[in-house]
Amino acid sequence: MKPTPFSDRRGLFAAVYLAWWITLLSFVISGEYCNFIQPSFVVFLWLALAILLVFAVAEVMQLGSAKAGVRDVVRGGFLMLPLFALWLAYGQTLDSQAYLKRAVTLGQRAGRSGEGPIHSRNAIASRTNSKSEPLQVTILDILENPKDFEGKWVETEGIALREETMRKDKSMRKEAIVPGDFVLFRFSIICCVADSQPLGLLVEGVNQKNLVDNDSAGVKVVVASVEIMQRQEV
Amino acid sequence: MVAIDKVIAPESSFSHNMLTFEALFLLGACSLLLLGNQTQLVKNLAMVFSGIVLEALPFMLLGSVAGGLIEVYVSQERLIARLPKRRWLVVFAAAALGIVCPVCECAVVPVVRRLLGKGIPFPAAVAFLLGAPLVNPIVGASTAVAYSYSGSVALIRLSLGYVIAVAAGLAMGWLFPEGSALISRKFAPHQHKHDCGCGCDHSDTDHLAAHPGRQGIMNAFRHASADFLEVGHFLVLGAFIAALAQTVIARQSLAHFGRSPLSAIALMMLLAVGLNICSQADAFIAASFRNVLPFSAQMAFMLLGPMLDLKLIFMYTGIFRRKAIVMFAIVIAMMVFLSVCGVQIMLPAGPR
Repeated sequence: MKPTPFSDRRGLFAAVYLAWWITLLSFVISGEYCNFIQPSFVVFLWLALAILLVFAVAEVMQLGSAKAGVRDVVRGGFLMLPLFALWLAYGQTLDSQAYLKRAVTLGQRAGRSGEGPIHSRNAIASRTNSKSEPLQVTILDILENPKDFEGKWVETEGIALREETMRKDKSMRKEAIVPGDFVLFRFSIICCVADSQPLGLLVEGVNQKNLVDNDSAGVKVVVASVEIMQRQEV
Repeated sequence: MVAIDKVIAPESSFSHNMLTFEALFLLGACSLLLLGNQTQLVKNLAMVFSGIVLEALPFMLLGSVAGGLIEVYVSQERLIARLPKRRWLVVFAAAALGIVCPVCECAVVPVVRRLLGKGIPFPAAVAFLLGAPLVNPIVGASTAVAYSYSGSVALIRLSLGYVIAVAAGLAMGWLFPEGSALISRKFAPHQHKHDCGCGCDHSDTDHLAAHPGRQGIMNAFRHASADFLEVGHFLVLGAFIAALAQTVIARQSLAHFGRSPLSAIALMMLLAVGLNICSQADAFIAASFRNVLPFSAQMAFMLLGPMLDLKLIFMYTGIFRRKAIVMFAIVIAMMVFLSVCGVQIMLPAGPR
């Protein structure tokens, strides 16, 4: 049988490096990498691209020095596994399942302060006559500076997690869930998705009939402090 | 050309059993990703797994390149000659090297492999391995930011990390004299020299350092690539298990263990091993448990994670024998536990 580049140990690893290079390049160019790691890490990805290319060249220059054994195939397979996962996760973001597994408190705020949930009252009805526009903010803005936003009318966006889903989750402490509430959440990536922190806002008084889990949702709310589980929160 | 694989490949790291385990693991992981890719759990698993690898990859590659450059351009004889005669001093210095040379835990493993090959004393290598990812300015800054700009939390973390790195280095040197913990004979210290046969006055291990121009920078990259292939698959293995743990275990259900400080410490030590969070980011995770678990438990998480997590355990198999890894894990875990028990006694509510 005619030998192929993959039956050569060096050819096999050169192919693995090139596969990584192509995948990484496409993720960097498309900006998809931002779903996995902190955007500022792109410098390191460019560095990785350069090194991977040099490694591939180094392997190609040794072509024919050894045949690929079972061990090499398994090792090559291991290095290909993250690529497989990367393509599977293409275009995805962490969803409500991840939120429920990560949130230590129901509406968990950023790890920086470690304080408890923020409660937001939906105030669309009471503000219909208001001439002023709501403040456009992110969930992180509210959670980072709760006192600055208390009592203020704000508009923010996130991903929806319905009360019903929270009740079904075994790890969720049911006494923390207020009927009619839903959680508007996002994740804040520190370095990569593995360390991303759930940022959740409890929103009350909204008709949840048309709300679907993991849908993006926007709310206009007045930020208020409430007592949840015997703790006075902002 | 030097037969790189023969030089760096560890003799006993890839036993038949390990190969079978790895092949089965790979098959299982592929099946899980392929068959369950419509479920939320597997989608999140794929994301977290990819994220861990994507974040670690550049640093692993950089560490491998640094290792390759050390192999080619650093002379073993000159390096050993420059080390202080009192070997314990090297351990103290090695544990603090991260201050001037901050490296993360993924990059440090290939570097340590090469340094050991160049004759760095084993206790010093252990101290560097444990100290560098923890005792460095980046980790200090991220810890301070995570704890609302608290310099004292960062100081406690870095000081304890340094003490543990030194103590673990000395303990491992005492438990495993003459490099008996290492998988490759090449890593163990030699009392005699082998002639490389080129006719010059240097040993075989210094041939490349003596004549770097002959094969040039490409030789360093060949070594680096071999190092990456040697350690990279352990990173993948550990990252997959860690991602699985992150996707399946609910952190809220763990909060119940926080009622007693001892169970909270044990819990956070287990989490540190299981979650595989980068040392530059783990303080943010620890801080999110501020109102749930005692400060000592958060400190346990921040101390143990950069020294011993799942991916590191697998990566250590590229350096240490299995028995040594078990002992290594016990020594580190015990030291972290004792340190944070001290923290619990002295600072039960954390620094003001």
